[in-house]
Amino acid sequence: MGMAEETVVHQQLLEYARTTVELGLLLEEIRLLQDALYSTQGDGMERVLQEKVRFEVAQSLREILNTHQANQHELLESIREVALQQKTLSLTVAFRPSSAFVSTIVSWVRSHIGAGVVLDFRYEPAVVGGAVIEFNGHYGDFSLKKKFQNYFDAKLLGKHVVTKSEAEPQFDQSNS
Amino acid sequence: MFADATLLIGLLLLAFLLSFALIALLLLYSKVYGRVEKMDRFQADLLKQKQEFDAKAAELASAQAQELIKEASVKAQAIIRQAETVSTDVRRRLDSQLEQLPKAQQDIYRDVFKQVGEEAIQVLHQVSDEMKVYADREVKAFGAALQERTAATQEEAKKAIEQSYERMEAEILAYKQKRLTMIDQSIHQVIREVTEEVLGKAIHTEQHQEIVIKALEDAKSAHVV
Repeated sequence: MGMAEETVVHQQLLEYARTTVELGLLLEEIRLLQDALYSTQGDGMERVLQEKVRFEVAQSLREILNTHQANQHELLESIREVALQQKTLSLTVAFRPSSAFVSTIVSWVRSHIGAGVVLDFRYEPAVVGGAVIEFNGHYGDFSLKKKFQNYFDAKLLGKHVVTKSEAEPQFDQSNS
Repeated sequence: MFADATLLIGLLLLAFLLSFALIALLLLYSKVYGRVEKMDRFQADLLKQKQEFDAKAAELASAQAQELIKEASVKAQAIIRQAETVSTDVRRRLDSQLEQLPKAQQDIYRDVFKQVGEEAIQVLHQVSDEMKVYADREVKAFGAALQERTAATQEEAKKAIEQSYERMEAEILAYKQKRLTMIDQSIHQVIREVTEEVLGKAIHTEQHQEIVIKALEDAKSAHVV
């Protein structure tokens, strides 16, 4: 299997590892399949795909493994290694994200940061809105709570003079 | 008849015997009474003689005592007179012998007396100096001890103040932290209320998503991502 082909396979499977939760599931599924490779029962791999692996993942993996029957173990191991190398973008938000929202964020991340990033969503109502973001050792509080705090500090305590854009959250209210 | 006569004779005989016994008893009583009276008189005589004897003995003893005192006084006066005579005699003899001492010996004695006197004065001066040194040393030691104790007391007071200050500072810090925690806990609620008040409603999911996208864009601008 060529490098480009292998990359396509990885990207295809990593579509099912958008978040750290999904990444954990994918790694466990790969481990179960690796174990099944050495099972004495002939249908061990298929039984795992049917019983232990998520449906969409199983479909993709079945297709990939059937195409590369000669080196299934190496393929699974390479998928596992690539999955472990994913960088984590942590987002602390004030709501529980839907799958569609996760996809939206994934699209934004891939277009603005690049591939190889998984999202780690943390639910914290206290942030009110926006997100507290951690990535690659960097931290930034872009929550509404922080904006309000800056505003209150500036108004009440005179700590920091914030701009109007900092004090007032910018979002489109036309949908409401 | 015969029996009555016998009984009568018996009674007469008994009466006779009783009369005789009574007479004998009276005679015996009279005799004993006389002896007792005689003995009383004798006893009284003896007592009187004893009193007279005691009075004479006391008088005699007093006379003898006065005589003895008189003799003792005379002997004492004689002894005192003799002693005065001896003392005067001894003094006279000593003066005579002193006068007979050579002049050289008198000078020696005088020098010795003078030397002894000077040594005594020197010893007194020396003792005085030693006392002065001792007193000076004691005063200095007392001063040093007082200074040391004062420094220790100051150090203890300083430590006590510092500890008190640290304790107060810790208490203030703990109180401040507690108040900040309370404020931090309450601020979430305040922010929500203010948010709803300012925005007129709660934020919808779509708005949340838009704000998160905006946050990501801000993070990119700030080179966080």
